[in-house]
Order: sequence, then C-alpha cells, then structure tokens
Amino acid sequence: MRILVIEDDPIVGQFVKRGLEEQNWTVDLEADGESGERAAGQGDTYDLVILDMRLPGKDGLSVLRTLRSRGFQRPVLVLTAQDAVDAKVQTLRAGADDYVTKPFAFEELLARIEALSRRPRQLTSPRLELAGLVVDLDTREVTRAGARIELTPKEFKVLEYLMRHPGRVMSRTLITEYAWGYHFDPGTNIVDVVITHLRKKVDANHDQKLIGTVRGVGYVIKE
Amino acid sequence: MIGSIRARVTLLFLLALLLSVAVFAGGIWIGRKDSAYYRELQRYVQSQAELATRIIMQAETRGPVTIKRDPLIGEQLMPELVSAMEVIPDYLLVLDSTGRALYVSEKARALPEADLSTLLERALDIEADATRATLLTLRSGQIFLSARDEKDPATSIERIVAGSSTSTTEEIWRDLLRSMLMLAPVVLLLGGTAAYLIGGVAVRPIGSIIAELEAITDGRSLHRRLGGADATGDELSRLTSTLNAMIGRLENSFGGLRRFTADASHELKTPLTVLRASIERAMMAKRGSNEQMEYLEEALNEVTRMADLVNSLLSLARADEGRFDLVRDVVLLDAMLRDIAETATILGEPNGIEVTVTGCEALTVEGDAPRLRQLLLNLVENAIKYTTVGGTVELALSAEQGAAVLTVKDSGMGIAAADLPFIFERFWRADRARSRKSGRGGTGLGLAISQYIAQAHGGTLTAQSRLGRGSTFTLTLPGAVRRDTSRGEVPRDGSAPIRVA
Repeated sequence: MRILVIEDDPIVGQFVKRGLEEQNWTVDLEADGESGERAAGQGDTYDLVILDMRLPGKDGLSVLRTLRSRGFQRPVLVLTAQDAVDAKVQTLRAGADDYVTKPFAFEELLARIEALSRRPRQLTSPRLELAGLVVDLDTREVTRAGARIELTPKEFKVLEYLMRHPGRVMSRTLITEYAWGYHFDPGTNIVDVVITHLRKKVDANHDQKLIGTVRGVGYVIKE
Repeated sequence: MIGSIRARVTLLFLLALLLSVAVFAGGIWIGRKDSAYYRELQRYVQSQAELATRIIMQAETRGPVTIKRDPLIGEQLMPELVSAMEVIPDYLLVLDSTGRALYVSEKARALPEADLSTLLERALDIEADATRATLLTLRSGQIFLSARDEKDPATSIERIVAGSSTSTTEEIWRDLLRSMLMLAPVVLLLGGTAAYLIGGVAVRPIGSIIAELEAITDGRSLHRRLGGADATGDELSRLTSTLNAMIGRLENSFGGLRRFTADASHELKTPLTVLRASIERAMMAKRGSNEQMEYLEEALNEVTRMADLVNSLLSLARADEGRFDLVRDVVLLDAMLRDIAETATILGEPNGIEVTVTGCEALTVEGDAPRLRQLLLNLVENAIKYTTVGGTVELALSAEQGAAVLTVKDSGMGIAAADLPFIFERFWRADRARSRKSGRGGTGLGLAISQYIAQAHGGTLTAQSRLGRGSTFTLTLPGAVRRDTSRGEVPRDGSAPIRVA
C-alpha cells in the first residue's frame, strides 16, 4: 500500500512516515498544501492520503475539497487539533473518510488506516501466534497448546495488543490507551491487574512463561 | 402577583389616593370654622342683636319698656315688647346691669339648666362689639353670641345678647363628609382600576424585553438584539439600548472565548502532538536502556495527562459558550454498563472492592457513546477511589417513566452535606488526605464535565451521599427505549459507528 502524508511539522511527519514504513507500506511525505495536492493529484498513485488540517499556504480543508472536486476517490484520513463536533462534521462533509484528533497515539492512527483501507496490515492477520499461543481476532478465541482460554473483553484487548508487537516492550500508557480508548487515565496501574489475570490464565500451567515485566515501563510478550 | 411591578404600582397608587382623600376630608373638617358658612352665621347673629336693640330702642320712644310685677322677681319686659321680641326665633337675652335676665327667648329657655346658667354668666362677660361674634361652647353644642349695650339711663336694660347655634352649619359639614366617605370606595375602585391598567401599559414593554432576553440563552444566540430601541429616548428605549450594548460586549467576549478555544486547540495540541510523536518514536527504537524506557514511559504518561487536561478545558470552554455538541447515535446502555462494570472490577480488585451489577435492563438511548462512556468511567473511577478496602460498588440500569436511570452506588467515605452542593464545580476535590494514596488525583474537572454531558443529553446527574455511608450518583437520560433482546447481536462495548448526516 502506498500512502501520502501531508503534514507540515517535520517531527510529526517523520514519526508517521517511519511508523507506517515499519508496516511495510510505502510512504511519501509532503510539507505543504499545494505540493501535497499536486502529489495526490497524479492518477492513482496513492491508496490513502493522511492530511493535516492546518498547513502553510493552502489549508487542509481546501486541499480536501480540491481533491474531491477533481475526482480523487481514495480514502482521506484527516489529522486535526480541533475536537469540536462541528469542526469534525465540517471535515467529513468536505469529503474526509475519518479523522484523528491531535495529539494521537500511533496505534490509533494505525487502527484508523487499517479500517479505511480494508487491507489488514501484515501484523494483523486474523490469527496472532506465538509459541503455541493463538489469538484469533475474528472469533475472539484464545488457545494455548490447543487448550481454550476464556478471557474477559479487556483481558483479550491487552493480550491482543501485546501479541501484535511480539518481543517489543509495550508501555503501560500505550496498553491503557489501546484497551480503554484514548482519554482514560485512572491514575492507577489498571494494566497490572489485567496482566496478573492474563498470567494466571495464559502462563500458569506452562513452564515457558510468555508474559514478561519490564519494571517501571510495561510488559512484553516473547518466547 | 404582589411581586409584579404592576401590582405594586396599583397598591401604592391606592394608598396615595386613600391618603389624599383622608387629608382632603380632614382639611375640610378642620377648616370649616373659617368657612363662609361660619362667617355668614356670625353676621346673622350680629344682625339679630342689632334687630333686637332696634326693637327695644323703638319701644323706648313710646314709653317705659319694663314693669315690676313682682317685687321678688324684679323688673321684666313689657308684654308688648316681649311679643315683639319673640319674632326673633333664636337665642335672645335682655339683661340689666346686674346681669339679671329681663327677657329670655323661648329657645334659650329650652336649653338644659346648666347650659342656660353658663349662657347667662358668659353673656355679661363678652365684649359688646358690632363687628364680631363670640363662640361659646356649651354642653349641648356651640353658640355664636353677639352683644349690644343699651346705655339709656331711663331704663334698667343694660345689655342685649343674641345667639345662634352652629348645629345647622355643623350638620351641613357632616353631610358633606358623609357623602365624601360614601364616595371614597368608588373613587378608590376607579383609581385602582385606572392605576392597574396604566401599570399594565407601562410594564408591557418590559415583559417583551424579558421574553426576548430569555430567548438569548447561550453563545449561539448572542448575535441577536432586542427590538424597540427607538429614538424616543424614554426609559424603556434607553434600557433596551443599554441591554443591547451589554449583549454586544458579551458577544465580543464570547467571540474572544471562541477564538481562544480554537487557537488553544492548535497552539496547545500541536506541541503535544510533536512531543508525543517524539516519545513514541524514541520508544520504538530498538536500542536504548530500560532506564531510558522508564523515563520515556513517564514522559508519555504526562503527555497523555496533559492532553486530557487540555481536552477537558476546551470542552468546558465550549460548554460555557453553549456549544457542548454531541454526535448522537443509538447507544446500547446495557452493553456499555457491562463494559464499564468490567473496568470497575479491575479498578477495585487491588483493594478488594466488590463490584456488582444489581440490575441491567436492555435499554437504548439516542446519545453520544464516547461521551456517555467518559461520564460513566468517571463515576466508577470516583466510586472506587473513595471506597475503602473491602467495600462495595453497585451499578444498576433501569427504566423509569421513559427515562434510563443509571446508578453508581458505593459504600465509601461519602461526601459531607456541606460539600455536596459543590462537587460538580470545576476543580472541586474531596479532602485529599482522605482519598487513598494510590496514584494521583484526577484533574478535578471530571464531575463538572460529566454533568455537562448529562445536560447536553437533556438528562441530569445528581448525587446523594452521607458521610461515612457512601454515595450514590444517578444519571437520568430521557428517551430510553426497551430493546428486544431475543434476537440480534449486541456490540460488545455499546458504541456504534459515528453517523454523519
């Protein structure tokens, strides 16, 4: 999949570009409205456009309207700092398919792209598998060594998140955001409780412990 | 009714009218002695005295006017003269130099004994003056007296005194007063009605100003202005233009707030976005020590907290402006409650707090699912935070009179009655010493935002609490619909995709 990112801030732009490239997608970055519009306008080069609303020169809303009026039909995902309902409705009416409110977690952006492109990224095949632990995203079934494990919805979400990033330390903040949405901060280590449950259900009866703790940071799932 | 200006104006006018009538009547009554009636009576008495004197003088030219019939009684007027004198119907006395009465008219004789002797005593004392009459007060009434001295040495007649009672004149005044008192209620009724009607006319424009002002409810309607500010420059048009100027200033400051809100969204969120992106990138890097990861995690946590705080402040700023908008869709409240209950259970577990769902009807409302979720999470978070180890938290969802009623009941420390009215205010926090040490407190905006969310849905959020016994928060949302649960899949978290018209 080829993605065009129109974002003027170099740090945010590079962050998005590199993050998406890690998903093995081809990403081009444009820093202002006019050049972004030109790049997107060249035929069917891009499968998806990520468009910042506040751009130097031509602003995001105008770029969006121009693209749609020229018959650009691929999905457009808007990045906006405005979370007022009328501002969102305005972008959707102008032809955006979805929006992500700044500041955003990369995982949220990824989830939205995935939903829009209807092309699962490589990591999100319907089955996540690691050392005999299988998480089926379609049926929401979890098994280890063939034995069924019953999980509550939040336990499933946390395990799914760790399984999507095997071998990588996932911080508590990121796990909380993924499992509870992006505006929930209970101020307690709610993730620790869920991990305790998961360990009992996933690791307790096995010699090989898959869930590891990184003190002060978060958790990792690895062989 | 008594509270309205119209009623007060009418009442005050009636009081003023009553006072005027009373002063008028009193003035007439007190001033009656100076009136023409009294002066006329005095002239009449004087002329009677003059007439009697003339009759006697006339009689003197024809011979003696007195006879001595009885040595014991002494001299008396001649019978011819007596009959001549009887033409004068009022009080008439003819006295000799010792003050003895030679003649007493019939009317004077009819006076009570005490009054007659007073009259005879005073008759000698009063000044003989042709120009004025003297008022004598007797028990049976007042009499004007006028005296003439007869200085003819040929007779024993010394003084002639004529008198007339004021009672007839007094009667006239009493009649006048009586008719005034009888007319007073009519006058007051007419006056009151007039005052009420005039008050109504005067107050009606104020009523329409109030109605127009009431229609200007929030930041969105501030562009409106009151009609009726005309060139007449009367009090009402001045009031209208003053109010319009004030609404203008409000509109300006609300406009400023709106610009600030929009600017702050960008100016605060853009650096937060950059910050967050940098932290996440650093965390993704394959190299780096655990220690570095720890710092990055701390920084990430702070950034998310700060982003939440910015969002909360912007939400409240928009709410102040009347722009707390919702993206409405069908919300499955029971599914949402179960999802919230799981989170509450996890939150309560470290402190052995038991979370139970005591009732969960299959209900839907038209609402903003993420906002309602935010509200409920806030309620359970608080419930857990303020409940002591081993306590309980109960969640329930039921329908009451077409409304969905969600309750979050805890067995926690409760809220003091004195604090209860303030818990929905911004930055309000319970005594921090009593809240558990674990974790840091929230922003203090949670309940304020929760209440805005409830109100934006046309619902209410209320709290009942007793110190030491726990609190119950009740969310009521109108327009609840009972869902047929026999068929159809229920989305797990109760949220539905955003629908845009």
